[in-house]
Amino acid sequence: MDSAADRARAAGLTLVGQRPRLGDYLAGLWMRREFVWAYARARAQAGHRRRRLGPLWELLDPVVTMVTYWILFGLLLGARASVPNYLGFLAVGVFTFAVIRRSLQSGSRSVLGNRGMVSSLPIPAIILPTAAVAQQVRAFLISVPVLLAVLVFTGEPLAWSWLLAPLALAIMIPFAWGGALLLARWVSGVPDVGGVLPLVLRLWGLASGVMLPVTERVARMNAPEWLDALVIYNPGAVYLAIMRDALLPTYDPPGAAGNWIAAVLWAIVTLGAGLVVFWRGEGTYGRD
Amino acid sequence: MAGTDVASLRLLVDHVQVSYRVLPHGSMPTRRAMEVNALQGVSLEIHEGECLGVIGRNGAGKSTLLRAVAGLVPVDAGAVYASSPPVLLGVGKSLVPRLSGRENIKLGCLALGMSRAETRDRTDEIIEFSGLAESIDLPMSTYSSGMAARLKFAIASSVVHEILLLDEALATGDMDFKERSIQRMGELRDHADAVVIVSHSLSAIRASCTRVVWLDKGTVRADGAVDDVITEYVDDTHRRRQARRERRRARP
Repeated sequence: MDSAADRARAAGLTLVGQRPRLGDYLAGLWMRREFVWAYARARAQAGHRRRRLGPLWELLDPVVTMVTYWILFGLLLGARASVPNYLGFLAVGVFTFAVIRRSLQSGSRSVLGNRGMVSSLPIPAIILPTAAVAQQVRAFLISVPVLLAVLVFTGEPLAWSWLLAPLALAIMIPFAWGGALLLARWVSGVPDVGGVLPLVLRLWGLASGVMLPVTERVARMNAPEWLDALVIYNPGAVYLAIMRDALLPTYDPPGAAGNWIAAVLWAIVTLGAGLVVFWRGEGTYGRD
Repeated sequence: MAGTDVASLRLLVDHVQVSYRVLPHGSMPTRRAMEVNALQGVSLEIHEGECLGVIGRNGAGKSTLLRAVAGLVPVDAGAVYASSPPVLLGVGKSLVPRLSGRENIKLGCLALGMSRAETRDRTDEIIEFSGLAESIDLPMSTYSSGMAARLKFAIASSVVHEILLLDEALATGDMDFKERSIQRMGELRDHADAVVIVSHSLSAIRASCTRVVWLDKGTVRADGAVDDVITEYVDDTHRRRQARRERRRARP
């Protein structure tokens, strides 16, 4: 008698549960883009349902963070003097880094926290971290008017460079997406990682200059060159720098045009690695 | 045996093994993961037009078999071959419990691969079938488990599939809904090439299946004609009950 595989081939059957090729896998994601967007929206709405102010929290969240940091770093620690427009500097930092931080954080939990969905619906798991990132991008877009209002109120001149901000966001999203994919696979294998991640992300934000112009200080110190480069060209600092480059004409981040090049490189490398690594784990995510 | 011919083969399950690794509770980080063998080498062939019933006691691996065939659970060894992707209609998880039934219908339809327009067209029909028109705009977390199961079945069964896997949990709900579900399952079956049904209801299996497999502790204990396998299974259940009764009597 011939083997089962031969019989299957003779009958024209194909193997079930085999990982599709990377191209087909991504095509499957593209086919479900409407689901990704609807799911991102639904998650955001569900998150606000129990709050009285509802979707208004989409705006209030970053404002509360910004005010807290302004009191803590601006007033108490005297960081106001370090940049011409500290509140503007802080606003761009907080709103921008929130996209990265929250994408990575909720992306990392998205697969582990939705195993039920992965194992009961015929959907590729990549939908989950992708929707988590989409949700954060959506939150950012909603909060843009607040950010611009802060900039105008603090006397930041309207400049042509503002038109670069959408470009900066477009370069940042692939990085956040790739990072979310990498962490989602890691956390689904080692759930303990999820426990330390929030702290690590906040420290990373501090070191990248969300609240303080860290990169300038390092540049002024006589630190070894590799340390300079590490601080200035780490992805967190790079994305903050290009966003501030676009939105804050009064501020000139160190690293200049190099930041834009680094931002594009980080985006390509991270997204490429994230897609491949996550794809290679497909098929293992549904396991309890 | 009828239908051993290769041309009509639709689903081939070849020595499939599935085990779950679980960390035992309350021990030190050095603890070893324990292996639970849910399926220990199950082989099946299903041909066009067949409706296979799977019976067995709780924990025999019936639901795991369906999930492995659907490709939702990775197999440790063996393979599943199919003529088109098998689709499991299980009750599953509701998508977002804090959102309304209507919003969950939308998400469910999109997840099943419908377009936005199709989703809009189907929504009313799904609401009507579920019989939950009055509470459709309330969050699903306020639904009773029966209501949630009805809505989930109404969503999942709104699409026709070539190879259909049905989990018994579907026959939930009150009498009226149960009748409608059984009718809907019949319609789905008529449109499908091959069907696998897991059920504890032997009468449901008798009514709809053309062949029965008895799964016991992760292996196929019997595979054959509906009445033969069911009789064997029922006899075995009686024997177990008898043995339990005698053990109890033997105790002082």
